[in-house]
Amino acid sequence: MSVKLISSTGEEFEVEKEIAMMSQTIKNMIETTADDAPVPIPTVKSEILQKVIEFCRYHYEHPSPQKDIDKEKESEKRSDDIEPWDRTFCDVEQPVLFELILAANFLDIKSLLDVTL
Amino acid sequence: MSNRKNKVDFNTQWAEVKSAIEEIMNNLNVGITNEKWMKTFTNVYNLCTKPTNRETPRRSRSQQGAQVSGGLVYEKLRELLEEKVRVYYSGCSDLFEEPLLKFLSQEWTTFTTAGRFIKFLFSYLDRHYVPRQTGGGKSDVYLIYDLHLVIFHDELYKKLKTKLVSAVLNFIAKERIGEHIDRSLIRKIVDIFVALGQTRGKGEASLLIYRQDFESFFLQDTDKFYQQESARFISENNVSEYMMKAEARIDEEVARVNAYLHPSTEDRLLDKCVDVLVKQRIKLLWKEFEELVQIDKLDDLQRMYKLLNRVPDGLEVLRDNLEQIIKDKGLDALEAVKDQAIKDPRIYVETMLGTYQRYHRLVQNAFRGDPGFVTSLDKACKKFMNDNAVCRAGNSPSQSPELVAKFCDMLLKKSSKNPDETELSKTLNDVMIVFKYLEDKDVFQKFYSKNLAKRLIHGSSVSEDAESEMIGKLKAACGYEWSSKLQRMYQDVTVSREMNTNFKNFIKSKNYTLDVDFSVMVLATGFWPLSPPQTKFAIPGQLEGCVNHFTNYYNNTHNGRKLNWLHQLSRGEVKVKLRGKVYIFLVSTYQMAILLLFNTNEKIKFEEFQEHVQLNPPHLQGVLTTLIKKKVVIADPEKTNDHGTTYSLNAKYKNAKSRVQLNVPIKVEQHTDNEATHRQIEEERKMLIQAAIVRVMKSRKTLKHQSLMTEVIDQLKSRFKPNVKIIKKCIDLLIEKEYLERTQGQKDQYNYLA
Repeated sequence: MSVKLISSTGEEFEVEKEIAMMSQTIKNMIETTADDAPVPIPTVKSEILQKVIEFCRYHYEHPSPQKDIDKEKESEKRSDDIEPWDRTFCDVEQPVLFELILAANFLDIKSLLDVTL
Repeated sequence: MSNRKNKVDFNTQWAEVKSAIEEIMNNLNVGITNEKWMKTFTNVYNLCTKPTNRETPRRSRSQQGAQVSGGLVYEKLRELLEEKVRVYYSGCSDLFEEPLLKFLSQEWTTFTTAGRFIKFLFSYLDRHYVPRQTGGGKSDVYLIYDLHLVIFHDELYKKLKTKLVSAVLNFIAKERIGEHIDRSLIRKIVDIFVALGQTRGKGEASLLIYRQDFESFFLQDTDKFYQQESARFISENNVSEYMMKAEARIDEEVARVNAYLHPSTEDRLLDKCVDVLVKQRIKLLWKEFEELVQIDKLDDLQRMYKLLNRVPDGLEVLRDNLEQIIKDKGLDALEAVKDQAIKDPRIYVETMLGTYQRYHRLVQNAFRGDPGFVTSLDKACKKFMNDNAVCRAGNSPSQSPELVAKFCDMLLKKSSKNPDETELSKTLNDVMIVFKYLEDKDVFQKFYSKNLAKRLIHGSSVSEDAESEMIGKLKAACGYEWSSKLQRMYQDVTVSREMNTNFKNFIKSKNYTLDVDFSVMVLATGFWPLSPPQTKFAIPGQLEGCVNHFTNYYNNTHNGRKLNWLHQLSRGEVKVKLRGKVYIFLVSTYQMAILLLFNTNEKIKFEEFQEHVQLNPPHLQGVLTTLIKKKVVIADPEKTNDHGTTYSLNAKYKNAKSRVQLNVPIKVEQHTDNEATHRQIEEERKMLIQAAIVRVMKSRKTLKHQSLMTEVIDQLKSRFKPNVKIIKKCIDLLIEKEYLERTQGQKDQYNYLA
């Protein structure tokens, strides 16, 4: 099963449902509507949406089981706890990072908020 | 985070959100499209995150919190939901009973289902706005779904609840008198009571609305209903029928809870029902108990048990009652057979078992083996099996264990009436039941070991397996120490058998000859209840060889052991030819010694017997009495048996049998035997009591008189029931022997002296 996401700039991104559902917002939507139609994400443009999907896909394929909830809370405050991949991922221009944060907030992806903030 | 370039128009966007919510509520079954969902979500998101053209909302001018982003959206949503619910209210304010319940359950379903959609659309508020408000101490801001519940409660439920609760209670009342009701409808309404409480906290707090608004009234109604029904029913029916009714009603109420009430109501409801239906009628039930037991009404008793088991202490009275009934029954049964039972241990034991088994079945079946009732049975059996008419009719102080031991002897002694193996085993098990209740187990043990000794020595056991089985049972019941003597006795006999074979081989290897067929039993002193001979005795010359050979053989194989010959217990066979007919007499060794003398003399004087046989006069007289009674020997002058009497073989002896048993104990002897045994038991008890006192004092060093008594009795009760007077005597004795002393200046206290 896959879901089509449409960015604010009109581009379509097809992602596996499980990856899309790492966004709590999309998950809520899928669980309450009975609709297979593409999902518009009116606040996120292609460039950012692509990065968000990349982030979700990586973490979907590389789950970090040893990181329990308590540790995650701690790591919010400690930037040295951020994994190398995430650090490289966040190594972008300030405006892009800013838009990533907004997207994470809108889509409600907690792990993305954690590494970008 | 705000983007000042994109100012949004609040009213326009809110209008869109509002229309989406309306659409959801009106078309719950259809749902909305992804596009519409995302649009609405984005609108809410924008209204919460971006600066709008209405920076200061009207409603929350004075409310600091509403100025935080999202406050205005929250307030708008609250207004919208309130408006919705007010519409519901106006639709049902005139309704009563079933229509009201139906309407409400319908609207509730719609409203809460929509709430689950709306909560997601407004999840931005749940994530950011609400936590900040409640974290800041505001208590009237709720998570979006809870907001639905609160509004439903305040705007609708609160105004209707009296009508609502009475409608539900009327439904239940109808069901109680047998009408059919729509249980699923009640279930839904009950769910509303429970769900509305969720905003009040967790656990018991969340059930506050259910408890206060519904359950308390429900329990009141229940009380009233059953008070009336119970009073009416009992006036028209008997107790058995009443119990049936009560049981059915209680089951029904449990089913009711399961069908449509909150599970936590079960205990409260049961308490109420049990209180009204059982506790308030408890005296009536108690009164009926004895009658039901007397006529063995198992199903009624079972029902009574189940009902009273629900009441704290409800069964206590029955337990005491049952104990009394069983005790009386047991005593009556024994009273009725006392004359036969004192003579026939079988009747005694079987009568006691009869009572036991009847009530054992009752306890198992009607009371499900309830430990309390088992205790009643145990206590009652203990009483009537140890102190009853038969015990009082007998002269000896411990008639009961004595008779039971005798019964064991009857069972285990070879006789024409022996039952087959399986039945014997079953009967022995039954005996063990009685044995369990005997207080003076030491008396039983004494008599049992005496009888066992006789059976083993005389080879009169029904079978070795049976003996061993019974010893095993006693061991299981009383432990190794208790039965070790019995075990040892049994072993000695087995070992002796082997020894006889070895002895015969020894004789053969040495080319000795024994003039008679000879076998011997070697019994360990101290394990057997046997005493050394009380008279001198000269063994007849014909037997001397055997005795000497065996003594030699034994001393050679077991160095350092001492053999004592118990001739008084030995026996043999002699061939006698009288009037041309050959008889085989089974005789004791003493009898044999006397009879052998007639080989050389026709007439023998009392004094000559004394000289040759060397028995003490009383013993000699005893032996001769039996022979005279059996008409084997004639005294001259007739009816004398003392110094000066002359004895001869009865030439006219006649008996149809050719094997004749002459080795019978003399009655008087048996009687003194019993008395001696009892004296022995008394002595042994004193030793055991003293040992127990010393054990207790050794570990306690200092102890009050009363505590010492209790501990001593406790230690000994598995063997016998110690007499308090004797314990006191033993304490005095130990003080005399300086094991103990009275504590100086202290009343009733002892010290242990090491």
